[in-house]
Amino acid sequence: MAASKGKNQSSLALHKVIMVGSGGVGKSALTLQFMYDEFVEDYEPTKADSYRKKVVLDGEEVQIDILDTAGQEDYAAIRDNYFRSGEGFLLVFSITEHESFTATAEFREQILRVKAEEDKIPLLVVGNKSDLEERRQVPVEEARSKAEEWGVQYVETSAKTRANVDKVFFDLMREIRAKKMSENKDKNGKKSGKNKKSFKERCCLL
Amino acid sequence: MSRARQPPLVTGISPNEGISWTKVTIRGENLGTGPTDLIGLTICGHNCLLTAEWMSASKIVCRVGQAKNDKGDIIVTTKSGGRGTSTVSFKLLKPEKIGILDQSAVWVDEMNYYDMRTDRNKGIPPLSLRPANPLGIEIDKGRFPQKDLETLFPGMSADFTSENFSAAWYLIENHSTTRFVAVLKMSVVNLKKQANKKNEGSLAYVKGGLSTFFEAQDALSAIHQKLEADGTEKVEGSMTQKLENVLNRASNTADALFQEVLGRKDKADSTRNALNVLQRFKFLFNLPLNIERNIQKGDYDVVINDYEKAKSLFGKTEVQVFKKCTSLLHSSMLDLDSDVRPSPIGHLSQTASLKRGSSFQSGRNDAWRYKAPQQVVFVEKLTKLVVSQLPNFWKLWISYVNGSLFSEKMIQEVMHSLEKLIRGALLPFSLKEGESRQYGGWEMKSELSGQWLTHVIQTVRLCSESLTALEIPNDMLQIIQDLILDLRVRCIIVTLQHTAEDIKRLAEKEDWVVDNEGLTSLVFQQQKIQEDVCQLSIGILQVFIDCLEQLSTKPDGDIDTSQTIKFVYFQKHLLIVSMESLKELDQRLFEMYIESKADPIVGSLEPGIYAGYFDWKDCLVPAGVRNYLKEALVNIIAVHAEARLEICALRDTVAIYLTPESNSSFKQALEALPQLSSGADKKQIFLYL
Ligand SMILES: Nc1nc2c(ncn2[C@@H]2O[C@H](COP(=O)(O)OP(=O)(O)OP(=O)(O)O)[C@@H](O)[C@H]2O)c(=O)[nH]1
Ligand SMILES: [Mg+2]
Repeated sequence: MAASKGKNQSSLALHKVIMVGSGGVGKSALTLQFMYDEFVEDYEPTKADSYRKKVVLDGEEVQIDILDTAGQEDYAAIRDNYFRSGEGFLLVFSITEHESFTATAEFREQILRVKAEEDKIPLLVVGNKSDLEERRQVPVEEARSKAEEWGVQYVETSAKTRANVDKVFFDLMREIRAKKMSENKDKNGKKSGKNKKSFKERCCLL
Repeated sequence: MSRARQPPLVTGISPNEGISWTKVTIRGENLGTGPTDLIGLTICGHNCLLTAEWMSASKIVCRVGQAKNDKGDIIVTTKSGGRGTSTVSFKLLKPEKIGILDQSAVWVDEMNYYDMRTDRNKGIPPLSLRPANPLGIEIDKGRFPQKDLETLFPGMSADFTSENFSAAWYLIENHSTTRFVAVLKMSVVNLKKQANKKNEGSLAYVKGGLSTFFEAQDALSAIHQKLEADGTEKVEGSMTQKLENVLNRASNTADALFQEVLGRKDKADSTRNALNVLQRFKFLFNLPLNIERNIQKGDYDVVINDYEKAKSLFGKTEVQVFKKCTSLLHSSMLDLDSDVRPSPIGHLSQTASLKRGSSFQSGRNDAWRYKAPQQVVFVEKLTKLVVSQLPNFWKLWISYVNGSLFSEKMIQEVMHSLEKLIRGALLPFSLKEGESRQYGGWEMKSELSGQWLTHVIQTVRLCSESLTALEIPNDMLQIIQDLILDLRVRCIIVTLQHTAEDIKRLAEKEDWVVDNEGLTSLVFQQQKIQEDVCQLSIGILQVFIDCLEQLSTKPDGDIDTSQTIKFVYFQKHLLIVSMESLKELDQRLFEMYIESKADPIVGSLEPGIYAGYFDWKDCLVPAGVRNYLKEALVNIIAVHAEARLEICALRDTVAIYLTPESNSSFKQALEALPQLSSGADKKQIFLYL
């Protein structure tokens, strides 16, 4: 789990997040807003983009690695590989396009299939473009009940106004961190303390 | 540490993988304060700075080069932050193989595809294309025992690839429980869909199995060749004949199929070639314009570079258009030339610009440009200034045509200062004490040579011509005319002085040679040098006399009769002086010659004469002499004769330009000579003999 790159960053915990969802729903927009506080107006289909930076998660310095994947069907074939490397997923749809919402189910199934051996996969359902309320096609209730059905959180965001952007990323990182911690406990039978020593040991063992 | 000092950090790459020349967007922090701050960019160890486009301190767009490593960091280096790091990496992919019929935006080396058909796409057997479940509805088997079905449909089969396929059997076997209306209808739709797909698929199938077809054709032609070699007769309908037909048809079809593609390729090739050529031509045709622009901007280096490039590209062209273009170029370079050079109103003077043009061509322009003495440059600049500025004043004056004294004075003042400044530079002695302090001040190492003076005269003349063209009244320009006259006089004086000095220096040089014993006589004994020196000195005199003659005999022009007379007088005086000095020289030469030659003869006799304490006093009057005395005397006579010959030769050579007066002096010299040798002495000598 320790990052292999950058000496000064190698000791930091690394959380790998993958952006999933149909084309044009705003995965890249969310990522760029989170990473660089900028909103990109024009649409340029993604193939696969990598981002990684240091963030402070609940007082602890960690690294977030974001893989922004392609929503376009043309690239569907390469998704499996990407999904395998992810630790947490933001399942994004656009509230202005119902089809993108129905597509989330398929994406979720693909994730579950690829990560079949893991029990609970950190995942958030994200309804983006909340600033375009007048063009809403997916009622909040519909999305929320689906998320409940899957046992995950539903959050509405806007890459344009930055509403809830930080929240979805940080909430997902918290889930990833919690999962890693519980896995550690299970595997090592060790008490995972908050002190530095045990933290380091854990890193080495992994 | 201040924020600007922090090293660049790349935190994002889009996309994170790709083949060479993929356009990537790099994002991060401190990626530079501007395009010029960005001094390095490597992706996977390959320098991408060339294609890098700096967008902001957090964004750079570039193209990945032909990287060495497969996966690597993105390193940004800036002046302000130094060498950076990256948290993300780029993965370079091997370019995907592109099929021969695929469209591609990048250039693909076709060599790699040559063997494609032998190792790839072995072809999918057609049968593998059949769907496992053609109806697309759930299969539930086994309700009906196979035996019953076989008896029900004898000789039939449930296998839909077999020839005697029975649809009923298949349905009973696989879908016996399916409810008709609801599901089978759907299955019909599915079947139709698949049929359509198959039609579409045939093309895909052909494409996929292309190599198989190639192989088949190769095999067939091989067989055909074999059969022909075996001598199987070419009977109508024979196997060979049939094979040949098949082959021909196959290749015809293939040709037809590929004609379009190959045509496109040819077109693409020729377009590419044409584009290349066009690019080159564009450079040439745009050059005159570009040069003009750059000249305006003052980028002379760029201009000269471009010009050299064009010259090397098209210098030897035979094509008319290019010739025209290069000559256009050349003329614009000449314009530039006259602009750059310290030349006044160069464009006004056709000849001047032509001269400069040729000097530019011959590559000696630098000498031209930098060797002009300061004063010359000064005058050129000054006149240029006046010519460019005075018209404005003049127009001003014309607009106040009523003749306010003030404006007229203005023009006069300009004229005055022009005149005084030039005088200060070239004729400082013609200025009054106070003026020379104001206008002079030139450090004169040596006076300007006549050549430069003529150049200056030309410059000033052009200036006055262009001023006259403005219709400035002559009385205002009079001082300029006076100046020109003074300059001309000065020029003549200087030229003459310099020539005299040059000749003097020639003698000095010869003196230096004389000092080295033996060499002098050698130099002068060499026939060639002697002749050359002779010719040259004659030439100088000749030209000078011609010149004087022309000046004095010129009937018209601004030289009045008194001047003509003056000139004639001057000429006469000059000739008389020169003749007198010539005579003197003659005499001196003669004496020196006789002395130097006779001395050794007499010298060899004298010691012998006085050896026996001989004294003329107590000696008898000699009645005869010995042979050796005779010989000595003969020798002395020979010397005289030689001198005489010499004098004659001298007269002959200078005869062309000598006047009667000088001729008479020669006669005198000749007369003097025989007197000496054929007088009393000679009689005496003969007596002795
Ligand atoms: N108004 C509004 N527009 C958005 C928002 N998010 C994205 N967009 C716009 O939606 C378009 C597509 O956004 P992208 O982020 O490029 O879409 P994507 O999901 O990355 O698409 P792919 O890369 O093809 O998978 C862009 O024009 C964005 O400006 C949002 O929150 N509000
Ligand atoms: Mg995208």
